[in-house]
This record gives sequence, structure tokens and C-alpha cells, in this order.
Amino acid sequence: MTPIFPGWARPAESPSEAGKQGDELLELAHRTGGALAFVGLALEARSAHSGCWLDRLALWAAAATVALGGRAEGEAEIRDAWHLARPDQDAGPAGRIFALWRGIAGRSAPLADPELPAAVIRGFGRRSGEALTETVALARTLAGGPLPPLAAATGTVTGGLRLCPELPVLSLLLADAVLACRLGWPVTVPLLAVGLDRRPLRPEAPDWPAACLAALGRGCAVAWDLHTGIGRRAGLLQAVRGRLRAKASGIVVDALLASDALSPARLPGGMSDRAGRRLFDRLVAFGAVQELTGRPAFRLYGL
Amino acid sequence: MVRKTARAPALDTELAGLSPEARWQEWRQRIEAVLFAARTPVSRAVLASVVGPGANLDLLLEDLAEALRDRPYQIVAVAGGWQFRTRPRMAPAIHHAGVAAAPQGGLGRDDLAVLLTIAYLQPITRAELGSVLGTAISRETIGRLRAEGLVMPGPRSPAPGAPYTFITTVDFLARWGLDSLQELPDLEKLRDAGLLSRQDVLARLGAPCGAKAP
Repeated sequence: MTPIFPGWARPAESPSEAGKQGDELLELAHRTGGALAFVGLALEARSAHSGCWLDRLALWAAAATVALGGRAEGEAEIRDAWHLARPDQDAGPAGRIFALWRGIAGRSAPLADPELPAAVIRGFGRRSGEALTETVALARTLAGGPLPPLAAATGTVTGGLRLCPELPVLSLLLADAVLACRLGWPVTVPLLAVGLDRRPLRPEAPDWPAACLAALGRGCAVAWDLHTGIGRRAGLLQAVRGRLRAKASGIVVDALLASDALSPARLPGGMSDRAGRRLFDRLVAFGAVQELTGRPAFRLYGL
Repeated sequence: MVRKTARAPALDTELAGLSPEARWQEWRQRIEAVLFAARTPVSRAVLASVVGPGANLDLLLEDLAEALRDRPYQIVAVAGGWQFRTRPRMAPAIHHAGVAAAPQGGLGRDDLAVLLTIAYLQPITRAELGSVLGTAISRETIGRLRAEGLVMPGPRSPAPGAPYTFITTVDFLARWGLDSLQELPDLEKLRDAGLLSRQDVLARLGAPCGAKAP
């Protein structure tokens, strides 16, 4: 039986009455705690589609943080950049940020990776970056420290924004890694960035702790809904698996379950472009897969 | 000035024979000399290779910056490492003397317009650049920018023919004294005016951008 995400853990549409009476933080913490438990359940389920789920969350987090950094590439453009660049090729500023999120999402203990600071500096297309390295070090300390999960995560954002105010994406990326680490989750889930509203981050504002909790809570709700939505299509996909006769279609189905999108031009298992398009057309007809670009050419398919 | 043409493998970095103060002094001077001699920014790794493994490079650089406090030049962190630069307040005198090349090197005004359009709207194809700037952009223009190491091909565009897009390089940041693309001037103003999204700009100009769904 699939658990149902409780209404009380969903973010409130408007600030509650309790919030006006000054208990907003308590209310938010309660809500966010509940929501986090549900994301934990989604992780615990180890569903076949969790790869796709995490990859798409990484894409959404990238879109949110690219916007925060003043650039205008949206989700679709980032996805295009990613799929139309050769693996050895630079995918542009937004594509590089997506690469960073992918490097964190779904990975266990990404903070322990000694290459992380170098990858971060490359990912932001920057000069050296003492502050970047320091921010990574701060996150590592908090991930291994005694602080409770929420305090460690918000501490990472606050500290990171102080060290590297011009790169909010870095703090958000590291905060999600710290949170997963402190919660003892097997892998990192992008949540904080996914839950951002369009307001700028202001760590000096009095409502900053509340804003962090609210973003995290929203991120959890979004992540849960995405998990359920993809799960439905993944179920359909698994159901029609046996009816696909094309060679290597099993490998393509597995790849669909493991990633945000696939391009028919670059399919695993040696499937040709033409065979891939035929397979995807069938899967779209079954309702298991959707075409994500809305274009007649250079199409991308995913759950 | 002493110049080494071949990289000597046996550079004594430990300097065990010197007193701690003299060793520190020597390390600092080596860093200064390396930065002075280099034409391009010098990375931390290279700087670290001329001082002992026990040396704190950050402290050395700080110390050096302090020593140069009253000089009209300074060491600055730019893309890819550290570099000697004249102080900005000396710019009028240097321009007046006309001895230094402007940062754009051999690029003309039109090349710079193309370069900045790429910087703001990247990744962007040559055809899209032409639509934005209202004039066809020749391969030569892109070629000059590539030869200068300022732009490079990015992902292909989902437009007919899958043309390559162009993106700026880290060297571009260094040459313009930027730390990252977020330091491009007036980003927010442009975004609020809807001039930062390639698709919005092209849609406004009525140019085809990729092949969008009806």
C-alpha cells in the first residue's frame, strides 16, 4: 500500500494564524519534519524508478539555482544543453550547474569525495576560488559534526552564503548533501533548492530560519509528488515491458527508469535512432513515457 | 632578471640550509619572480611547486600583497590563478602613454559586440547571434574569438542542422577581470527587461529559435 502524504505536512498556502502569533517556526518545523519523514519513506522504498526521480529533482534544483544566479536558462534549456552536448564537451554555464547537481543527487556521501572542491570550481566556470573550497570544508565539518540535521543544513546555507554570497547555488547544493548525511539517508536528495520560491535569499533577515524550513518543506512535498507521479508511469512501463519485442528494449526500459530523459539518438544497448523512435512512439501510446520537448525533432523522452 | 629556459628538475624547495626567516623571504621572492615572469595567470599548483611543501601559500601571497602595498601594481586572483596587474587607479596614465594593449587585443568593435552577446545569452548559435545583432555573423568573427581563446563550442542546438552553440571560456573571465559570469554588468536589469533569455529575445525579434511546438 502506498502511503499518502498527509495534508498537515504540506506547505500552507498563506501564513497560518499560529504564524501571526509567533509560533510560526514551531509550526514550520513540525510540518517540515513530517514531510522529511515521507521523503525518507520514498527513499526507503528503493523503487525501480528512483534513479529517474533523483535525476529529475537534480534538474529542477539546477533550474531553480540557475535562476538564482541571474541566468535565464529554464528547465527545458538545461535539459537540451545536457543531452545535446557530447560527454567530453562543456554544456555551458547552466549545463555545468546541472552536472554539479547530478554529481550530488542520488550519490551516497558526495561530501567525502576529495575531488568535490575541484569539481565545484570547474562547475561554476570560475577562477581558483578559495571561498568555494572553504565552503566545501564548512559543509564537511557540519556533516560530521554533532548538530541535528535541520540545524546542520540551515547552518550550511547560512555559512555558505556568508563565505560565498555570490554563489547561492553552492550553499544550497552542499546543504542538501549535509542534510542527507545527518539524516543517515543512503543517498542525497535535492530538496532545499527545489522548494525555493522566487524571493532572493537573505540570511540577515529575521525570518531567515523560517524561510529555510519553509523551502525545505515545500521541496519535500514536491519531491514526494514527483515520486508518486513518476511511479505511476514506471508501473505502466514495467507492465508493458514484456510486450516490447525490439532488441535491447529491456536495456532502454532500465535506462528510462534510471534517468530524467533519453534521446533516441543516444540509446544504450546499441539501439539505433530509428528503432529507438519506434520504441518511444509505442511507449508514448501506452502512456508510460512522455515526450518532454514538444518539438518535432531532437526529441527527448522520459517518465 | 634571471631567466631559466629549461625547467630545472632539481629546484631546492626545502631550503633546509637557511634560517626560517630567510627561507620565507626566498619563497616569497620566488613567487613574486614567477608571477612577474609569467605572461598568463599562474595556478596555485605551479606556485606551490617552487616553495617547500611545508609553506603556507596563502600566507605567502598575503605577505607578498602586503609588501606591494605602496606599489602601483599588485597581485590579483584571476581565472586560473594569480597574476601581476597594475592598479586600476593607474589606468588613465597607462592609457595616456598608450603603451599597453587594450584587453580586447586584436578584436574590433563588432567582434566585441558578438563576444558580449555570447557572454550574456550563451549557449547561442551563430544564426541566433545574427538575429539578435541584426546582421549576419561571419564564421571569421567567431574564428577570431576562438583564436583569442575567448569562446568555444558548447552543446549543439536543437535547431535544424544541429548547429553548435558557442559559450565563453574561463580565459574570457580572466581577460575581463571577472570572477564568474554572474559579475557581468547589469544582469538583473537585463533579466527584468526580458533581454537575458535567448528564447524571449529571439521570439521578440520574430526569429526562429530551434523548432518549438505550436
